[in-house]
Parts: sequence; structure tokens; C-alpha cells
Amino acid sequence: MAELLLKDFIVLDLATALQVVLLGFIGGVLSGFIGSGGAFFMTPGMMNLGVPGVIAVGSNITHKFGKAMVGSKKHGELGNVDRKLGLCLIAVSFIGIRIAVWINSFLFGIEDAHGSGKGAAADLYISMVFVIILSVVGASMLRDVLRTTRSDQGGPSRKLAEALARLRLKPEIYFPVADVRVSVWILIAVGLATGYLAGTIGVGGFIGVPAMIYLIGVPTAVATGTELFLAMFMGAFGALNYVLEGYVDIRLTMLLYLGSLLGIYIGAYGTKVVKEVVIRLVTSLIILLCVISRAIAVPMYLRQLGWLAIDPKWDGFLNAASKLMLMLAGISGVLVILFNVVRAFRRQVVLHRRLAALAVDEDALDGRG
Amino acid sequence: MGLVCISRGSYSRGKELAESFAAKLGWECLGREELIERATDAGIAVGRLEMAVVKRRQFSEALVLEKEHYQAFVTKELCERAIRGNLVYHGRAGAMLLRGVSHILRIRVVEDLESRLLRVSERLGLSRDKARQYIDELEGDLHRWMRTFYNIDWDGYTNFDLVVNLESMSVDGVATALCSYAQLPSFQETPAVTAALENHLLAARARIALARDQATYRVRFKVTALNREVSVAYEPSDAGVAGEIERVVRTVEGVDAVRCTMASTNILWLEEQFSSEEPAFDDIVHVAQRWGAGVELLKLQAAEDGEPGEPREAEVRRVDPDLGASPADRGRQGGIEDDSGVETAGAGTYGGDDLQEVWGELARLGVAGGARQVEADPRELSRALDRSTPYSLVVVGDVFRSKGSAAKVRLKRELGAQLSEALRVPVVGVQELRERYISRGRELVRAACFGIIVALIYAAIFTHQKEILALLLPQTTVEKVAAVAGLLIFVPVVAFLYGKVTKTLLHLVGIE
Repeated sequence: MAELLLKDFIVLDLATALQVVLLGFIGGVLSGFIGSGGAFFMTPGMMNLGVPGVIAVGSNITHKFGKAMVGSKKHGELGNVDRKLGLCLIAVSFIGIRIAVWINSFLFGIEDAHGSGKGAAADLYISMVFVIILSVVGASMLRDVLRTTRSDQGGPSRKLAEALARLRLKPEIYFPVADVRVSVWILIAVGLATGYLAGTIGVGGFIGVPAMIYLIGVPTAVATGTELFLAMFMGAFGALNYVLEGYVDIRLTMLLYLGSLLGIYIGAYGTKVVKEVVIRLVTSLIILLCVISRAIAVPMYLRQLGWLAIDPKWDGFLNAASKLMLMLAGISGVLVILFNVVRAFRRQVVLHRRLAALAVDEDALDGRG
Repeated sequence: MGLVCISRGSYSRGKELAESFAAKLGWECLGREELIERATDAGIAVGRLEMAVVKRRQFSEALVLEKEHYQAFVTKELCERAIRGNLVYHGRAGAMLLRGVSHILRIRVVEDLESRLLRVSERLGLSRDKARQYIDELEGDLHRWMRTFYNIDWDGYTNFDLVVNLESMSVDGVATALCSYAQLPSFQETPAVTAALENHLLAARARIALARDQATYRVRFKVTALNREVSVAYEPSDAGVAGEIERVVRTVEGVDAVRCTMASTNILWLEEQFSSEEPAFDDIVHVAQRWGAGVELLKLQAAEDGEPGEPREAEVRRVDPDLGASPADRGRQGGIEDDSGVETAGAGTYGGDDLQEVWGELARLGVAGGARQVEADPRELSRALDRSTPYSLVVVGDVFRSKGSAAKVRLKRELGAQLSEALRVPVVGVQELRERYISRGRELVRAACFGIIVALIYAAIFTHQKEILALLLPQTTVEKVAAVAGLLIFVPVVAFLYGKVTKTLLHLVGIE
């Protein structure tokens, strides 16, 4: 555990602050490129720097709220936001967030028999949820990519959504923008799951978007836009809850913005110049590497709780290995993206120069130069 | 040349009507089923497209390419047959592929639910409930098909010239009435329509050639044609095949010149009179180059009768596509302008054809995204636009030139609102383009101000860490309310201010 400045807030030296900015930048590039919030990288990254898990989640969810607000506005202008669906999900997701905050806060206060290990239970819990959920998401995405590459088949199937629709679980609500009729019970399940995960690990979109596509049958663009609309409110509500508990470190939020808002534009530019299949492949591999990174840290938390008998000096090694793996995932992903961005940018510059030279030659031939 | 497109719903006797109508006119009748068979024979996996729509699958890249190939194939078949003779086509929405081409009679056939239920029950031996479910599913599939392929609402009746309800009329009676309708001047052949169809045909043939070549079949292209010149736009991620495009398109009969543009998006530019000498030209090229966009030109020509009506694709006079030729040589090129009866307004540099001249200039600068001339009341324009093209910006130039200044301002504002609603992208005037997307001065000053505010905020936080963090550890209710309110206001404000600063900085280096 890093040195504390006040209650559970760590002391931020220049090196740590720069690492948080770097985390924000990498998370921002990945976020702009993948379309997710980037929390899957930033939350464990901050935990590796010694930030208690609950504060890492609280600070990140606050950071996510501001970003989602801007993104949601842009999607709204493109007609990709089903506000009615968003508001229905928000109402339920608040309950999910509240449950998540309560569990996190409760676990954060648990200490072992010797009065030490405070926060380890929450860290373990957050890490386990992270590993389980993102393993499923990363593996599914990788399978989708490989299937698409091999057989040229279409995207996600709507079989599950149609099967659920056929059950006709009353009452149902019609959503005009998404053009779907959905059972209230399915909405409750999706909203609760999305809110709970946003509140637990700061990752909501990874569940909300696939759930809207697969379970509700919403078109992909509308699912993404509506999720951002949802994320804006969930982020605000999550931030509200965490700040009431005293778990938002505003310094971390500000440092994340320094990197992420720069990275997000670069990542978004990357989507214009990289093929979709490559985007999905890079995304799934980064997620799976992040999962491995978090899994490496799990024995450390188990030891801190007295549930695993290993030498305490392994903590440093496990933490370093976890940090290294996370950085490896983030930096290699970002390098792939930046390489493509720079290559495309240079190609465009060369093309314009060549065309300009041609235009000058033609003008000279025409006697117009 | 005559072309009638009948859009039929499921079990609504549209096919019967089309066949009767074609027989009475003595025209060729082509059904969607025959077209699909021909497309399948040509190697297009129409079945996979249908299944993807029915199963509500998201289209993979491969399916998107298959969709483009199929649309090009249908366009080619319709244009070829229409140019060769007269055609009645019955299917889903074939006419949507020929948007902007006037003189196509587009009919939607509907019938009451009861009659359709009865027909389904009789033919398929289904109970009433099952028949209802069957029709609902078919209609749902049709809606999705229209949305996926043409980005239109199947129930949007403004997409058709006529909606015929067969509930209380006989097929024969309606077919007879339609024969009179088809004789109206609005649906008669003109050289302008033939030229527009030829442009569509050439673009479709070029797209098919690209879809069938080993080097280019995996790439998405936007192909347009204008008087034997073909413009091909491809995305930056596919720059590797750029060298192959001209080779492939040159193999298509009737292609005189090929223009390639690397573009990840499109800017639509509307004018009544184009000129590459105007400052607007430089501004739009500047923005297009920064964005990596292709510029699509749309020349508006007021309808001859001056009344609002259906947009018609007017003929554009032919000029020599050889950019090396002298302006004088270009001016001598004839084409079919003498037959058109449509005057091309103004006198541009190249034989009076301002549209072609500006298109040529854009091509030389690598940002040409197509060109069209539409004879229409600008207020009806949105109906002529291709809704499936991903535009990022619409620039409305000097239109409504014949109106007074106040009327011009009002009409332009209304046109902007209409286009914004139809395309869901920003619509700006030339002046606004400069102010919002080009003028660096004001943008830089604003970013600098925001940067200073952000720097002060960060300095305040990091020089008073303990005090700020203490505020975020509220104990009393008042403190809690203050902490929550402060955070929820402060965080988005910082995100907004710093976001503007980074955006401006990246604009400066050309990343946006």
C-alpha cells in the first residue's frame, strides 16, 4: 500500500502523477479506438500504483461521467440515442449502482484477525468480478473475430433477443428509436447488471452494449449511443454515491483527464484508418491481457486476507508482474494504433503533395500557371 | 424509354398488378424474383443478405461488400433495360437506387389486412392467428430491408408518386388507370433522364468490375459517374489497392477517365453556380483535406415551371475529361447538350460547364467525391439525396439566387433545417463554414483562454491537495450536498474546457 496523504488518499509524487496521466492517455486512446470507457485499463492501472480499489473505481467513474456527457451529446445529434430506453434503464441501473457501492464499501472496511489487510477484500472482489466478466467479453469478441475472418459470416446473432421476445413476458414497452418491444423484466435485468458492473468495476458499456444488442435487439449504433446516454447518468449517480462515502480522489480524476481527452481524439482518428476486423482483434487481445494482469494480482489479495499462505515479499513481485502485464497490454495496443495513425497521416500528406505537384504541372501545360 | 417501379408488400397483389399493367402498355415486365435469380447466377450471395436481415444480424464487412455488389447489380439491370426499351419492375424499392432520376413512375401497392390474411390462409393453409403472425414477420423483414439497404422508412409514402390501395378496386381497373397516368408528361423520356440513367449505369458497371476483381473485391468503394468519367472514393485503410482501381475501372466499356479519391467521409456542397475561383472553393477543399473527405457537388437548377415538385436529375453537358487538353479544346466538346432543352446556367472556364470544371479541380486536388445536377425546387431537395452516403457536413452555397435577400435568408434557413433533419449532419453556409471550421484566430484565442483557466484549476488543486480532499470527505448533510453539487458541476466543466483545448491542438496538427 502506498503512503497515505489523508484518510485513504495516497500521496501523489511527480512520478506517480505522470503514470496516472499515462494511464489516462492509454485508456483514452483505447477508449476512442474501441468505443468503451477505457476503465478496464485505468482502474487496475491505478490499483497497481497503490490506489485502493474502491478509490480507483470512484475516481474513474467520476472521470467517465464528464466524458460520457460529451459523447452522448454527439450521438444524440446523429439520432443514435433512444432516450426512452435510456431513461428506463437508468432508473433500474441506479439500484444496481447502489448495491455495488454498498458491497464495495462493506468489503473495504473488512480487516483480518490482526487488524490489517484493510481494503484487500474489496480489491479481491473487484479483481475477481473484473477477471470473470472481461474474460467472457474478451473471449467472445476474439471468437467473433476469428469466425468472421474464417467464414465471412455476419455479426452478432439476434436469436436470443428473438427467443426472449417470443416469451412475451408482460408488461412490454415499445421504444420507437430502437424500434423494439421489450419486456419490462428483461429491462430490469439488463439495467441492474449494467448498474452493478458500472458501480463495481467502473465498466458498464462492456455489458450494456452487448446486452442491448443480444437481449433486447437494439441496432448497434443505437446501443452505443444509448449506452453513452446511460453512462452519463450512471457516472453522475456513481460519482455521487462514491463522493458521499468519501471515495473520490479528485486529483486522480483530473490527472486521468489530462491524458484521456488527448488520447480519445487520437484513438477515434485511428478508427478511420484501421480496418474494422483489426480494431476488434486488437480490442479483444488488449482485454484478455488486462484480465491476465488482474488475475496475477489475486494471490496477493488472498495473502493479505490470510486466506493464502505465501511469503509477503511475493506481494511486490506479483504487483510488479501485474503492472508490467497491464502496461504491456496498454502500450502494445496503443503502439499498434499509433503506428496506423501515423502511417495513414503520412500517406495522406504524401498523397496531397503528389496531387499538388500534378496540379502545378497540369496548370503549366494549360498555360494557366 | 419508360420506367415504372412498383413496390409491393407481402400478399398485396402487386405482382398481379405489375403484370397486368405491363401487358396493357406492351412493356417488358421484370420481377424481383427473376432479378435475384440473375444476381445469384452472377455469384452474389443474395440468400445470405436476406438471412442477415431476417435474423437481424449486424452486417459484417463481407456482407456490406455483398450488399454494395447486389445494389450495383440491380442498378445495372434496371438501367440497361430502361435504356434499351420500356420496363415495369415490381419488387421492393428498386427506384431508391435511382434517386434523383426523374420520370420514373414509382408506385406503392397496399391492400387491407383482411384480404391479405384471407389470401395467406388460403394459399398456405394457416389459421387466422398464424397468418397474422406470418404477415407481421414478413412486414418486419421488409421494414428492416428498406432501412438496411436504402435507409428509408417503408411506410414513408413520400418516397412514391402514387400509393394504390387495392382493397375495393380490381387489378385490371387499376392497371388501366395507371396506363393513363404513365402517359403524363412528368413520366416521359427526356435526354436529361437518359443521361442520368447512363451515369448510374456506368457507375454500377464500374462498381461490379471492382467487386469481381481479385485485387479490389474486398474493398468498399463509393462510385459515381458523370459523362463517362468515373469517380471512385475509397477509405484510407484501403490505400493499398489505390493503384489497382484505375486498371480495373478502365476495363469497363464507356469509361473515358477515372478519378480516385481517398476519403473516409463526404462533404456535400450545394450551389446553383459553381466556381473554383470563389473563396468558398478553397475553404471547402481546405476542410476536405483536413478531414480526409471527398466533396460531392450538387448543382441545383430551378425547376422549369418554377413550381415545387419532384427533383429531377438534369443533364450535365459533356466536356473533355482529359485534363491536359486546353480550355479551348474543352469548350469544343459537344456531348448531347443540344438535345437537352435544359440550359446550363452561367459561363464557367470550360465551355460554360461550371460543375464539370469544379469537379475536375477537386479531382486534381484529390478530394472529388462525385457531382450531380438536379433540376428541382431546393425545398424538395431532400427527396433526391442518397440517404445511405455517410456525409459529415453539408455546405449550402449561394442558392435561391432569384429571390430577394430577405426571402433568400429565410429559404436557406429552411433548407438547412430540412437537410439537417434528413441527413442528421451539420448544415452550414459558406460564411459559417469559414467561421466554424477554418478561422483559426478565434478558435486559438478561445482555446488559449480555456487553457489558462484549466491550468489555474489544476494549479489550485495540486497546491492545495489536503484542503481539496478534505472537502471530499463530507461529514454533515450540508457538506455532503456541497461536495456532491460541487463535483457534479466542476467535473464536466473541466472536461469541456480541457476537451476544447486538446481538440484545438490536434486540429492544428491535422488530426480530427
